[in-house]
Amino acid sequence: MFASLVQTVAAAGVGAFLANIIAELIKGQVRRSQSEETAHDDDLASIVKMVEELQILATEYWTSSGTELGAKECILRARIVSSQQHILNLVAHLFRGDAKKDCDVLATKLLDAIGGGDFGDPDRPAEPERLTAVYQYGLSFIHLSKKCRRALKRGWLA
Amino acid sequence: MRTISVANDFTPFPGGRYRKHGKGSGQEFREDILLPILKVGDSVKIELDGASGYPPSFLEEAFGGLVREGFSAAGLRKHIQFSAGPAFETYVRMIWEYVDKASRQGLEH
Repeated sequence: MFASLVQTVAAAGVGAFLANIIAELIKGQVRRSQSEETAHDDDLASIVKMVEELQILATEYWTSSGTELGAKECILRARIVSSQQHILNLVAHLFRGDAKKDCDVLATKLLDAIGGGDFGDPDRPAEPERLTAVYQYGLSFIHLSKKCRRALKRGWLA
Repeated sequence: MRTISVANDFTPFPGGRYRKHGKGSGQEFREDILLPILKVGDSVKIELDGASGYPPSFLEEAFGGLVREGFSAAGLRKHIQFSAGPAFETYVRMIWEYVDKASRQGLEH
């Protein structure tokens, strides 16, 4: 009778212990997956923000001539190049395979619209006509990034 | 084959299109780094990683400029290879687009 009671208590203890471990393992996995999803969302939000910022910088850059911008020209140029690189870093971190390739293809168009032509020439004229392409490719790039983010495989139990 | 790291052997801060735009220009890279290698028929592997970012005008002048110097797109593809990590792969695509565009423009004129 006593032995049976001990067995029952021991079995209940082991069961509770295992249940706790399994619950903790599942909670850990949920936390890991959620944290990964949050990081992906943060990266996407940064890409969107950087592209919008890049459009603003490009607007300031191309609506004035190099002479009109004066010393500000090299500052804007540095901000544009560093922002473009930051976007490429984020894309490389977030996407793989076809999604990354699609982003790369569109990025070449966006970056060329922003930093091609006479970009960097202090004597260049204003070229506001570039801005249509800057905004068009920028909006397309944001849309593509969101689409690729939605297509990313979700973590287990996320 | 020669290997050139843009960041280590040229500049970590690629600049504008022409020399008159300051240090580290596309013209400088083409004339001082690429042409001496390509003119003797040698091949070059260019490592793009490590630079702070490439202004497209730099890339166009450095590589599209090679076509304007008389090199064919096919010849350049044979003699130039790129090494680029995921964050720099876009530039490789841009470079070949500029080379092809310069070729097309050369044919039109």
